[in-house]
Amino acid sequence: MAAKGKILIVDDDPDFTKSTKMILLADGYEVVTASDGKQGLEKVREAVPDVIILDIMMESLFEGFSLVTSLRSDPNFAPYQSIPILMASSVRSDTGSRFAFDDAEDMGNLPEPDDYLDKPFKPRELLERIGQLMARKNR
Amino acid sequence: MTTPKVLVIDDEEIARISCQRVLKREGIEVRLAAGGREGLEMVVKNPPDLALVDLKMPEMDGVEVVRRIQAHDPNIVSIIITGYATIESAVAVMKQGAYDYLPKPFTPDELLIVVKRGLEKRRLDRESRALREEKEAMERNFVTMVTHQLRSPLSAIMQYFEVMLGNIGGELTDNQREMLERAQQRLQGLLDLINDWLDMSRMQPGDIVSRLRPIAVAECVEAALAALEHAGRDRGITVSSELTPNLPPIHADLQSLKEVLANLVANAVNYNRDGGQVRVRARDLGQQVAIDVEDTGYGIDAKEIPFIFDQFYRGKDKDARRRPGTGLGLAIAQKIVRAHGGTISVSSELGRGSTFTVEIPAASGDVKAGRDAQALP
Repeated sequence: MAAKGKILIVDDDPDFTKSTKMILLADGYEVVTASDGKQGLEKVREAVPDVIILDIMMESLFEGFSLVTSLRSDPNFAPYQSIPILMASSVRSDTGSRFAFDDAEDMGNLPEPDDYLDKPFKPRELLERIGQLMARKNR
Repeated sequence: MTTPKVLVIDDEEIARISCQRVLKREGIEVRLAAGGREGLEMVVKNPPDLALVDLKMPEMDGVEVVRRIQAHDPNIVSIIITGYATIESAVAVMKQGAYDYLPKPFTPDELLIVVKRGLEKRRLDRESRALREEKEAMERNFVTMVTHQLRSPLSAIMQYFEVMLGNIGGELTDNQREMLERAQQRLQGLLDLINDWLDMSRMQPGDIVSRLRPIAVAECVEAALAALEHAGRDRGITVSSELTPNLPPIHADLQSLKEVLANLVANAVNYNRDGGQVRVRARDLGQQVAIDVEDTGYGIDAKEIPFIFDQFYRGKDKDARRRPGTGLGLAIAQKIVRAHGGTISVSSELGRGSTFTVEIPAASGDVKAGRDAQALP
């Protein structure tokens, strides 16, 4: 059976990566993983995923965002520009905004991901969101 | 400790030299200036811990020198040297920020007592400032530490439970499932605790005060109930609201007050008996609007009522203990209500139920609400 789609997980927590991968594999997706932003970008080129799941809080907050910035605005990544990104974090988004930053200026003009999901993922919710992003991509 | 530095500013050479001789013997680094201008330059270039300043100097008098030293760095301890006849000026100079004064003529011992006390003050000031800064940094780091270092691993564990209980790692036996479900619930309790704890430490009453504006009670109650409509359904608990028509608007922050009401309603469901009821009512009290959340649950022992708003306090009742809870919800609710300039209270009958009442200033009545709240710690 052909895979439903190819998902790239970029996360520095191997346990998250593993359990997320299991959820996706069980639902028929093909999964590629990367443990930091730099490796993530390499995997984008190599594997050309349909959707990227990106942890916002890797080494530094910046790493996640710089990957988004590269993908969205670096001419070298122009062919991958429209790959949907689902951003994830175990920092609860509790301030009414989708992102829990004390200072809005911390965000600056950083590009927004396509969707956001709090960790830990519930399998059904994750698969729903991925399904929506796949549909958006194929539209 | 580093060698203390004292600067002596005096136009009389003999006075400068004798001060230097006495202080040097005590291991104090001493520098000398013959006038105010020279002294101030030295203060800027190499700030001393303490300055001994003669009151009567031709070029610039001691009051002015002390004023400028204090303006440059209020942490430098200034001591004024003055003749008997000029005690009044000494008082004037104390008002400019001098720490002490030393009447002339003085003995070496008198000089040492005053200087040592001044240096001790400087040391204590420094220590308390360092401690305060350390405490503030710790509080800031603590929140970051809790968010990342505690939440991340717990979330990773939680996701494994989700995967296993979703039969994604293979079929589970009933026994395994039951144990994993229990473990997951305990872990969820821990995550809830961390979330509440973060809410508690992040919440600044000042932020709430700055967001106070007139809002409709109904809007707030509806927003609070929206997320809880089905909360008690599996246990047959009904949640309803009855709001008196024509309630005045309240002076409130919708977001945080909504959380208070949602918390009270969630408690009323959580600590209710199966098939019980939760009613939300609002009453016009003139200056305030009272919002009551009434349940038909376990009730609270009168002895426990004084403690239920304390952080981490949980009821002693066995049935209530069995329900999930962090012991922080009511403490957070109280903090929010107080920032509104309001009150939160409870009346309860053991075995019959409890009514929690939140009173919030009406918007039209008392416009001082915001200012009153600001005075709270």
